[in-house]
Amino acid sequence: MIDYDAIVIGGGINGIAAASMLSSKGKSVVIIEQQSELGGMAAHKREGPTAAHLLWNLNPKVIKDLGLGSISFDDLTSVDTICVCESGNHIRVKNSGAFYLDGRVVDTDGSFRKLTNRLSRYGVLLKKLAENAPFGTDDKLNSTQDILRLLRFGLSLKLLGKSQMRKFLQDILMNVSDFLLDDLPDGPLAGLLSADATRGQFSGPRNPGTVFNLVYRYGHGCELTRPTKGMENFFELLVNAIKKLNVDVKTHVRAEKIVIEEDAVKGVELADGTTVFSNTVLCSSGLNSMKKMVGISYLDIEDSRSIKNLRTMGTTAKVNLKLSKLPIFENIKGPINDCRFIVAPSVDYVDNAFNSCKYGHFSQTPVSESVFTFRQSEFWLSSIIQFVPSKLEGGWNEAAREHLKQVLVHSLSAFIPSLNELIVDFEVITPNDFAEDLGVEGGNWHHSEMSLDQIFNLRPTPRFSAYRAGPKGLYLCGSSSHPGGDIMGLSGRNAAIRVLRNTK
Amino acid sequence: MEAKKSFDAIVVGAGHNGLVAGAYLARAGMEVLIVEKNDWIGGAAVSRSLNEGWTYSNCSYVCSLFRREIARDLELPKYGLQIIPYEGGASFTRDGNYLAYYSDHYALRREISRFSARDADAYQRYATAVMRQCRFIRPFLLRNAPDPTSVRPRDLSEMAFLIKRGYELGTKELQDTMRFWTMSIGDFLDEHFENDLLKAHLAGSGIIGTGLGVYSPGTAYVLLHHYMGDIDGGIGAWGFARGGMGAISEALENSFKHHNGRLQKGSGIDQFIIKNGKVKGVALENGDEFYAPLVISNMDVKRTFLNHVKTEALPEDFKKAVKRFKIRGSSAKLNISLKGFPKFPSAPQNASFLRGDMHCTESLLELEKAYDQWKAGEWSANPYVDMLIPSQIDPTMAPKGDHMMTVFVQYAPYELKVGNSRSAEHWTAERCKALSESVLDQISIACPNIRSHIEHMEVRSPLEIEKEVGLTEGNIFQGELTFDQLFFNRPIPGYSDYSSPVKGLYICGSSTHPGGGVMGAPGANAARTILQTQSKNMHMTGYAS
Repeated sequence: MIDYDAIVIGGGINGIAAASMLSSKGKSVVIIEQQSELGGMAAHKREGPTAAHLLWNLNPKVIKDLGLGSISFDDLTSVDTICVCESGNHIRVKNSGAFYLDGRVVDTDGSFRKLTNRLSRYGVLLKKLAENAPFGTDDKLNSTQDILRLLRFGLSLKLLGKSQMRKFLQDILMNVSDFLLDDLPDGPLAGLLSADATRGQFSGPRNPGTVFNLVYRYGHGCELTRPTKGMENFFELLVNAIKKLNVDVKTHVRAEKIVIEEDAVKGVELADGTTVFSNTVLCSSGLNSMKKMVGISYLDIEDSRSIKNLRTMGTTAKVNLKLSKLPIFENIKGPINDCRFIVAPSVDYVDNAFNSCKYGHFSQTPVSESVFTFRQSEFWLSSIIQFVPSKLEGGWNEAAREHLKQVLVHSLSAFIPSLNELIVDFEVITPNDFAEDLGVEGGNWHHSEMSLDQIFNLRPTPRFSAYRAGPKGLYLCGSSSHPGGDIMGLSGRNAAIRVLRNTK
Repeated sequence: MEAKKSFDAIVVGAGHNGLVAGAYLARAGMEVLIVEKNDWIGGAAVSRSLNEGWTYSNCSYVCSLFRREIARDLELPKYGLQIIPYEGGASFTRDGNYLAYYSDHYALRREISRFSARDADAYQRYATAVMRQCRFIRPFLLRNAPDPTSVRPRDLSEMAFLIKRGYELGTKELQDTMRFWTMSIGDFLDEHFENDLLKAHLAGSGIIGTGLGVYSPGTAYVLLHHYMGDIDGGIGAWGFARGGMGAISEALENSFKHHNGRLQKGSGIDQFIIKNGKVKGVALENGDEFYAPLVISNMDVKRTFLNHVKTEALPEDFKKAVKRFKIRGSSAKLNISLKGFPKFPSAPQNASFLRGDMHCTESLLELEKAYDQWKAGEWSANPYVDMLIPSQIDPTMAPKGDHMMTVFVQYAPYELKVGNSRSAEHWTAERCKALSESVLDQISIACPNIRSHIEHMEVRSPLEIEKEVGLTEGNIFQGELTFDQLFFNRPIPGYSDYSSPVKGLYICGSSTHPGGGVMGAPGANAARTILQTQSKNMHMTGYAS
């Protein structure tokens, strides 16, 4: 008995991308989501704005699959970056040009522009890898298709030219601190890039391999956008698109157990006691939740060990401050919600903030990214704070939350002196809250750390890198699989392609 | 002979790699001159007698990585080299316990079981995984790293060898290998073990000599760098050179001289003589000039090209890349003459592990904190120490009944922070003394009355090591062993074949592939490359060819 061609567990961006891909190829699909709305971690909210407040790398191919080809530049507003400086003369970064708010050019010798250009060049290369399954996942490395792709990638490396190729092969392995400070003086611009490289990560700017994260984040031409009508509206668009594609959506119900018979998937048992039957299940949750749903007896001992060893430490907290009115910035031109405010005055500052996280504390001088959002008639200042450990020493009690908020407010006072008086309400969402609400291990943004030993062929674990896991018919489509996190949807899309190929 | 000014090749610096390169070239029939700035040879592989009756291996102190192929080719045993393997080691704790490490499998298993039965089982898997990686990497040590951007036949053939080796591993093994190479030693150990002390004991090898912490990606590979050696075929075994590490240099010198090589001590190089993009010879600080169409520098890449080559001889890109090469001083050294043998109260009388490497660190977090202090420009308050008393096995090191102790200390920054300024000049005698006090405090965990046994002590700060040995920042590897500086990226992308933009000028120090440690491989590889490309009728013969 079969109810659907495929069941997608989890309605985050990757679940949506996978479902839309399958459905557009004529498969009947159902999404099972425990929250009341689709959108997953990105759309997660309590009282205030959603967890994700900007769009980094939403892939055009995913948009096209969703039949949302009409999302155009009118619907997305590009966002400038304001690096908060202690002097009060902040730096505005727009299209890789950097200016002080009083109009002076920061990047007088053009080295920042050159650096960001280099990053986007590398990004194009990595994008090619991201839009496909990793090499060698067709069960054997020597499949013709893989070899062709490998050669094509080699060729595009070669086409960089000898010196550029050499540079790429070295840069991509470097730590972001050395990479930046080789070309830039340590200051707000270097601080900005090192903060961007390490956001969501449990690694500091001095950790080798962090240049990869930076390239990944700047992968699509350094363009940073927000949906013009707000993030919530954007997720509504996605949900509507999914419904238009005839994808069934069951919200507010947990997938309890993946039903397995004779080592093949038969369906999913839901928390309400019903069972949905299908021979194909795509799971977009983290691997530990997957392990629970499958049951350890259906996994190889080696697999369950690698799942246990996965590094999933969550390091980002969200603090939403509800304001009585908008503060006025005399020297910031244009709408204030078209800017993100970065507090990361130097690479050293970012590194120090990371240091405390290693020992189970958050830094008293935190690295944060903040945006202003308007919801109905409310004003919110919504901040992502980096290097806030899920395993806080002493646990996440009310006092710790209050303290985190105070630490943030104190550091933001550098650019909003009156901030404390403006706050009428606040909420602190810790990595643990994300974990609890969504079932994401450790509250990690990318489900598992995006370090060099957990990417590409090794993501999430070497044996699961083909989007396949455990019993026949079970697929992984969450951001713990290649290429990984950010609101991109490619993990889901790649997984769906894999399903289509196998069920042909 | 004295008046001779022209040679076939000149090697600058008589470190072990310079001596190896020189010896191979001389053996192939070249007339070779080695110049050395100090009055003694050996670079960082030296035995010095700074206190009468005692001999210090005052830089490098133990031996394992030295390639046996080279020892055979250059007949080092014949010239007096004897390596004595040592047994095991231990980590001591503040509460009077210890974890001993034995090379005997069953003894080790029993010992680990004392702390965790699970870890005793896991050690099996751990050792297999590490050994597998050692076996994979060993053949690459005596080969050149291919330049992936080049289509020269020798690069292509090296690339083909790499691909073949990778392919032979099979998908699963290959993935494990990739993972191992990019991971941190802390994570790798966390995957296997639950006991902090065992993890701390094993983690040391992943950070020794580097500017990385135990949780910095890439440190698992550094572990390999300390495991891939062998003594008499025992992979991963370590030993002492009888008579101190200088014995290696001495044997190399004898072998070199046997092949009519000439050695000139006491004056360092001032400039490489370069005309029309070709090297012509060297000008020494004392005014002497020697000429040769081939000059091989044993100095690190920064020292060679930034200090001793006139800048106009080098392309802009190359200079920039050399400037960016990362060499970070992170370690210091104590050499101690001991009166009598100090007591280690927690260890049984005459325990075999006292003859091995001893440590006093109890957890990975302690090591990570030590690293954080180094990042901030301080030396670690609780430094990682790797201490040995070689005179127990090699009686030539100290008078009868007395002992010599060598203590490797990590982390100590090159640019020390005092107030708001960071500078190497802050390493004054008082601060060296203060550093030694921190170290002695740490040693006291294992050996509380160490201070009362000290007859003489040499404290070597990174600055002092730099000044005497010529290692930039006192870094023992002549450059960080991070993956952006390894293999084809070492030292500079495009120049991993020991050559430079100056025709005839080569480098053969540890800043080239495969990197640091008293290995000799960079020297041998450089010599092979030179003989292949620069000489028609002379060839490299022997095991390392």
